[in-house]
Amino acid sequence: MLQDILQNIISGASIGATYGLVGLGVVFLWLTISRINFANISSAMLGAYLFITFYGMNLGFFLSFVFSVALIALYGLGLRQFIYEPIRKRGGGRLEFVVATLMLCTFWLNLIIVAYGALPRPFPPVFGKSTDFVSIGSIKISVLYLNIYFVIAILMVLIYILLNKTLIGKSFRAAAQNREAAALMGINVKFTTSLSFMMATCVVGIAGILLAPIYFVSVELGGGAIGVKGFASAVLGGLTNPYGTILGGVCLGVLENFSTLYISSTYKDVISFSVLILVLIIKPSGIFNWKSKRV
Amino acid sequence: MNILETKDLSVAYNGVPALRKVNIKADKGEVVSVLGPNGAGKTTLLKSISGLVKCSPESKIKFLGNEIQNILPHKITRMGVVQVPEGRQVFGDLSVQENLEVAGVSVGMKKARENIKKVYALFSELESRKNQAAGTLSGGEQQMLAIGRAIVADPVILLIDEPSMGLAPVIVKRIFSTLKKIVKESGLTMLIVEQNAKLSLPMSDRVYIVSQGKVMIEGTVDELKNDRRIRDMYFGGN
Ligand SMILES: Nc1ncnc2c1ncn2[C@@H]1O[C@H](COP(=O)(O)OP(=O)(O)OP(=O)(O)O)[C@@H](O)[C@H]1O
Ligand SMILES: [Mg+2]
Repeated sequence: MLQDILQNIISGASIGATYGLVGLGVVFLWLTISRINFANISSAMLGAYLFITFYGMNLGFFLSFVFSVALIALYGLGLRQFIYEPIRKRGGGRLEFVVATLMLCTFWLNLIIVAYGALPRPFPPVFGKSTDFVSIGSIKISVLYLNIYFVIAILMVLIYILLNKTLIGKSFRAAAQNREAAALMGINVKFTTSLSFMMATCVVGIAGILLAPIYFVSVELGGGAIGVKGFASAVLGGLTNPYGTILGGVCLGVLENFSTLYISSTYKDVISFSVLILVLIIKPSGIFNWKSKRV
Repeated sequence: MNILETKDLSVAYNGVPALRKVNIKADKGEVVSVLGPNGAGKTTLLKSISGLVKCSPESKIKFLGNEIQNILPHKITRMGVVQVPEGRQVFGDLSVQENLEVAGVSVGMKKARENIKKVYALFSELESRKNQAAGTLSGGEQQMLAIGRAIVADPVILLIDEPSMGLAPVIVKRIFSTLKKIVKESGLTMLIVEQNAKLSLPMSDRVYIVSQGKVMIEGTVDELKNDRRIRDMYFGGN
């Protein structure tokens, strides 16, 4: 019994952390341009499909990973250049950006169906097979989940170092808080905006690669349910706190697993919707949003 | 030597003019004051110099002889035109130290470190609060940080917008005496917008009085002191 609970916490938290990564994509853009990218989740699908494409060319895990993430970063740059900037230059606001990215999300879904077909594809067992387990005492943990933790932990450390220990990251945070003042201090806000787009698409792309072993490489990775879970994580982090967003995702994942265990798996996806709505009603500034004071 | 000069500088917000053909200049080492009532266009003047607001096509802004009216704000700063914005606008979530570091992006690591040291020497209270989030500083400390930040960016000309805004007289005194010290020691040029003429005029060489987007009166401080109207308005009577 206790074993069951622990195992569910571990697997739930690991999938939840990937929801958190998807949420990070929302957070990075919200911080810098105060826009919600409705095609946020598309990067996850693109990441997974790019990965299996490169992997299919026998490039191996490492190169496939690096190439797909690099292309996703480039895609982020394109998003800024061809969607965000043109809208902004013509005086468009949030609504225009929402509509454009909603359309973009549909566009990617259909492009993938045209290019790869609608059938899910298996993901190579690069993170271990779902049948591989490590035993710690009497608890069996899937290697897959351990690897997900490992990748996300590295990623979070890198993000922390980038944002807090490098001048680029500090400039990024400064520009996120006050664009005008940042420009007055000599910070190139165009560059920090580009950076935020690239970081946003990259983390979601990586989330897609991590989720692929669980969801298969399918259009499901580019659609509603996971996107909403990511968004719910971001809302838990108040849309501004990257670490709170990961924590929010973790909680969502655990909650989801327990509802599957104790209620029914049919309600699994409803959980994140309910959490999203509850948070927005009760504490719209986010539950896991410490240090949210903005000046 | 002429450091900064505007020629027929006009700015409009959505067709409503805020500046009309403003001509001002600042020579090397000068402290130039801009006075004027609320809504006169003082902040707009500084913003247009810094490139934050667009000016009309016939306007010209020259810095060290080069036209800068179409250059991006961060590049203008990197050239040496650095502004301390109205209302301080420090980066609240960043620590004091980080605020200063970030302002050094354009000057290189080594120079930035030197300049940060200089700032801590000028404002010792900032050094003791190095790791505190800037948003939790008192108003006075935030103003010191805002000025310090600008110093780190290595200004040739420093533009300051209402440094006394909302601060207690003691703090204001301290800030102005430090500004004086900065000018004296570094020989930089300063364009200072300040409603409280009693503070800014003693340290200024020349004055522009703007109203409704126009320069109404200009002259050296000594000239204006002898003008009765102005003396009554800005020097507090006799
Ligand atoms: N972003 C803006 N959009 C529209 N109008 C603006 C904007 N900023 C300033 N204005 C208008 O331009 C005029 C000049 O404003 P500005 O802020 O330059 O005045 P100021 O002299 O700095 O005033 P204060 O002493 O109150 O700071 C005002 O009438 C103001 O309403
Ligand atoms: Mg003003």
